[in-house]
Amino acid sequence: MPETATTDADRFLALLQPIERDLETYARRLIWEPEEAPDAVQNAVMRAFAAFDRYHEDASFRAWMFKILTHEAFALNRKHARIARHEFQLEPEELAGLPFTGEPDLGGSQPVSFAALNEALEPALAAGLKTLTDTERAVLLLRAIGDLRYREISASLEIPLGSMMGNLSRARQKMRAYIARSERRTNLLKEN
Amino acid sequence: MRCEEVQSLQGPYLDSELDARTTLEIAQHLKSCPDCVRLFTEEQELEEQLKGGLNRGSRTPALWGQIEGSVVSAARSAARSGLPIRGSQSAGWQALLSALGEQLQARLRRSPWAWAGLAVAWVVILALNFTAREPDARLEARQTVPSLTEMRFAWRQKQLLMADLALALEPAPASKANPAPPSPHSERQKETLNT
Repeated sequence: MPETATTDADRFLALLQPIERDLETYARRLIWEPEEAPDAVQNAVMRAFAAFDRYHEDASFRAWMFKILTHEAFALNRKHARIARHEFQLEPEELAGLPFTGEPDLGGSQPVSFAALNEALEPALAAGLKTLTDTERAVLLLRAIGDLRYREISASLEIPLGSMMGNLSRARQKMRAYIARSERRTNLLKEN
Repeated sequence: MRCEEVQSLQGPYLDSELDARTTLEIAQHLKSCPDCVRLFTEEQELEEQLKGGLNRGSRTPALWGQIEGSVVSAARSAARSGLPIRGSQSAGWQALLSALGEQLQARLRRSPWAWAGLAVAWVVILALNFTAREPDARLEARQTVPSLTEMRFAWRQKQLLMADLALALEPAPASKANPAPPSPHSERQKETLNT
């Protein structure tokens, strides 16, 4: 009996260790208060270990862990009720000025400068993420950090595939808009 | 495929989420459409930048050391209790609670003031418990041991009842014209009850 428990812990940790960095990065990006991320990660891991008997070998451990962590982060975000306060809608003219917003735009819009992205990426990303809804942010991060497939993201968040794709598209557009706006502000400040 | 259709599938195409046939059709369109190629290239570069930025982060060794320690502790607790973690959900919860308890202990070990706070809390709880119990104890004592007056009263009641019972069992007088005088016990009983 003790051997079974130890073996379970060993197996669990062997699966966990390769994705520890990704889980931590994901939590820090997804949770409104980054200092709460360690607690969320710890709770998620202990919940996963407690439910390890329900994990099937043929399923993706990575997707399973990201799902549990997402639920933990959502619960924290709900608890603090910060989503509605921080969420904002893009102005229609900003959306209209974006490339790839539904209607084809063959050259009318200015592409985002990659140099500007590199220069102020971190603060712009952190602030940009706060402009997304909880679901949009989770979808974007599960794709970018979790490297999950569309179907895995859809299953993790328990939303239809079409809805997941819509959320991903909107999240990318908003991030692009936010970064572009940050770039415009930076340029204006430099000119003045 | 037309440009509109190709561009509407840009995200899934770049994420390699489309079926083989659609992927091939888009690839063929891109061979002959420089505008779409430019948009796709820009989008792909931006996505790579975004992904690279979002992925910027490191693993905190102290955090993961603590988490892994909690997992091992939980497994050991489950082993000590003789309950396997696999196959038993309650054992899993037990392991979780045990691990949380150990985390709490670890935090207490780091802060000596936490121990003082815990001791004070225990003293307060004990004091409250003691003061809350006292009225109940008195009530119980009063209920189990009656006072001397109560015992006397009960004894007198018993005597009166016995006397009444004896009168009731006596044969009735032959003549109704001379009713029996009222029993002094009955008068006495009335007085007692009124008082």
